[in-house]
Amino acid sequence: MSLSKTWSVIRKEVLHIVRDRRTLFLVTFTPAFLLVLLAYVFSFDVENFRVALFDQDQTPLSRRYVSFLTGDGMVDVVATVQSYREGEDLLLASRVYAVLVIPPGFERRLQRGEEAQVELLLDGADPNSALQTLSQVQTRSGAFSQSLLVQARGGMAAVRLPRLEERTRIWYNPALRILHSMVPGLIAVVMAMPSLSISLAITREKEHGTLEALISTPLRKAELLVGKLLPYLVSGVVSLVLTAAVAIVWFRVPFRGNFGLFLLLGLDFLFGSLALSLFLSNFIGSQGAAMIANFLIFFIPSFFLTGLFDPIDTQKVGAVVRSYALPATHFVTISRALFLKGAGWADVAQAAAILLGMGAGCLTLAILSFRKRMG
Amino acid sequence: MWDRIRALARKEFLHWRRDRLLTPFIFFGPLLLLVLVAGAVSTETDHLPMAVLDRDGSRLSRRLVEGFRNAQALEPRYTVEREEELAALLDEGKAYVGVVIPAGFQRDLLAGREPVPVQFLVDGTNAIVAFRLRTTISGVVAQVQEDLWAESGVLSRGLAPQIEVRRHAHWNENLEIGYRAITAQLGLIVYIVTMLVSSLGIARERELGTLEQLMIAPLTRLELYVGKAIPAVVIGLVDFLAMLAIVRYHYGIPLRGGLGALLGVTALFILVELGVGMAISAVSRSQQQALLFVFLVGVSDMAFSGYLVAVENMPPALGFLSNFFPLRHYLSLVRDIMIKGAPLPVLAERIGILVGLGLAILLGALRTLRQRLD
Repeated sequence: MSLSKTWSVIRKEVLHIVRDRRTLFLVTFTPAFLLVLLAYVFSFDVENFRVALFDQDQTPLSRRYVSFLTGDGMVDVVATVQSYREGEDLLLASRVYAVLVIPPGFERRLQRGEEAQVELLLDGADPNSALQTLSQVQTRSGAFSQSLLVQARGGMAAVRLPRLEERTRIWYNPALRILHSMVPGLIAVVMAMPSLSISLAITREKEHGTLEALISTPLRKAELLVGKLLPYLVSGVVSLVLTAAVAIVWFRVPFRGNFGLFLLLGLDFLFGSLALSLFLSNFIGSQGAAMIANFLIFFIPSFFLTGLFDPIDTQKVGAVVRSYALPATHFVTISRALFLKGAGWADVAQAAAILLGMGAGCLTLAILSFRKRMG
Repeated sequence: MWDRIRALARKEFLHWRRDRLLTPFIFFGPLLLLVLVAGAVSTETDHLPMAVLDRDGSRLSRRLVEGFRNAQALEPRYTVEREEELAALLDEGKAYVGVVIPAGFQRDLLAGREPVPVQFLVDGTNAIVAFRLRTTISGVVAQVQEDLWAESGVLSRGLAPQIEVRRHAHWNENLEIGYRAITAQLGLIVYIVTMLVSSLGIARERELGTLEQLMIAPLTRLELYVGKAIPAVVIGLVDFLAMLAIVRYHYGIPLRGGLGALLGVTALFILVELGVGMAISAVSRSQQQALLFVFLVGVSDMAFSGYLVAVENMPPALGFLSNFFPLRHYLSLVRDIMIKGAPLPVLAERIGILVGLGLAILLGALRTLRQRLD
């Protein structure tokens, strides 16, 4: 592989990028812009669970119960209804996640020291929110009835109650700011842009027939592909710095790690994802197909398979393979670890090694599978 | 007029057919994505690893740990001896929760004089998961405590005021996660395919220089629009039907409302997004630019779709803004029709909004098209 030949491919590619100003602008600033957009969407701090209340008891105790449930605002009573019918209409219109029904005799039963049943009608069309509302209501109801018991026992000092006190500390993000955990993760998602651009650049040359011209030159496959790769690697790093700056300066997400290490690992991630994209581009003939492949293979799955929202299910082999095959998965881990945990080399070594392996492997495959003959 | 539109549509179809790689991507890509993502989003992730530092090693401390195993949300996978090991497991992301049970736990608990503290450390890097874990921990701790009370006899009859929450889920008795996640993926994929197909139409002609030929052809703007739109509608609907079959028969998601209503709403949505795609196509100088715009618009649409973040959780201004994104209305229509079998009056509002947005976008697209073509 000759350096000077590679260099001429790089120069040609840089000229392409720089001459098309609008595209250059789009490619460089789009990730930072997308991050701003997505981050604002995640700027809430507590998830609210909207419920409607159907209180058939209407007693001081039932009211106390409701105010205990809604004390910190997570469970939010947004409507009071007078019948099941009304409640079900609210569920149908998706105005609430659940309807809490307190039966008549609620206070009487509890005061007699018996069990009282309340009903929670849930919107099954939104099972995630329904499940979370259920678990909020269940946990709080348990705490409420235990407080009643302790109260009832207050006079009986002779009886001892074993009691547990839960002391929970949240590490790395003590105030549980959703913004702080989403922004570093989203950086990995929006940085899909460079791999999209490289795959469009290659397929465009195929469409225009200029790839043939390149192939007929005495360039070797490796020189050609590495020359293509490097400019995108560099512009990717520029865009990564911009994106990280938005996260740190604009959104004030704490950055506790070493920024040099972050950039180095970012380079590692870009290498992995660009090489993968380069490899796939060998099998794609048009820009339209390249875009569809990129969207379907990288971008959409990166929201759902990378652990950005739901953690990766490490129990299932299939899920692990699906997730680990995406470069973004590893960078979500790395970025969150460096921003919030202040992680060092050792903590992210595995993710970094996988990305490096992916990059080297895919680049080799790309060079091997690249055909110098058109056909 | 119809002859000219037909000729243009035929030309478009020919193009799709000749691009041997694009066509399989358009048809099988969405199906592949559906299967790939739907499988991952349709089950709740549980058994998250937990690290235990048990300084008591007693019957009751093991009981507490067992309580977590039984709750299934957490899996006590690591047992450690020192606090540093616990910290390392959290640092490396191997454990989501660490629990420290103090020495003398059982003794103090049985003495019952004061509450016995148990320390939980929760990894907050993913705040959404941490919120859930916090609730899970409270639930398990309360449950274990209640069991202890029951055993010690304090909960004898007539002395145990307790509230039992009975759940009754409408439309999805077992609260299977896939009912929402998979229907949302269905809508999302239709959206992307439509946008991609429609946005390339004119940009490709311009890039390859064939737009000039089209411009000297005796075609009006509307004819050009309709002719270009037909392939996108057909491709979108065919993709939708194939995915619907998978959703219905492979994943067992019910279709409670009418198929006609679902197809009608989907066709309407595709038409609306076509307008967006055509506008993008008209302002772009090359396919690359068109695709970058699609990327931008696509992410905005996803952000405001109400799928990643409930619209109610957004800041009020953004929540209001979300009304202008067609995808949001479409996703909730699909869910209302398929899962709830909602009657027309419930759907009417969103359908109305979609029609309104569609008309505004269409007019905008035709205007841009005129400015760009004349």
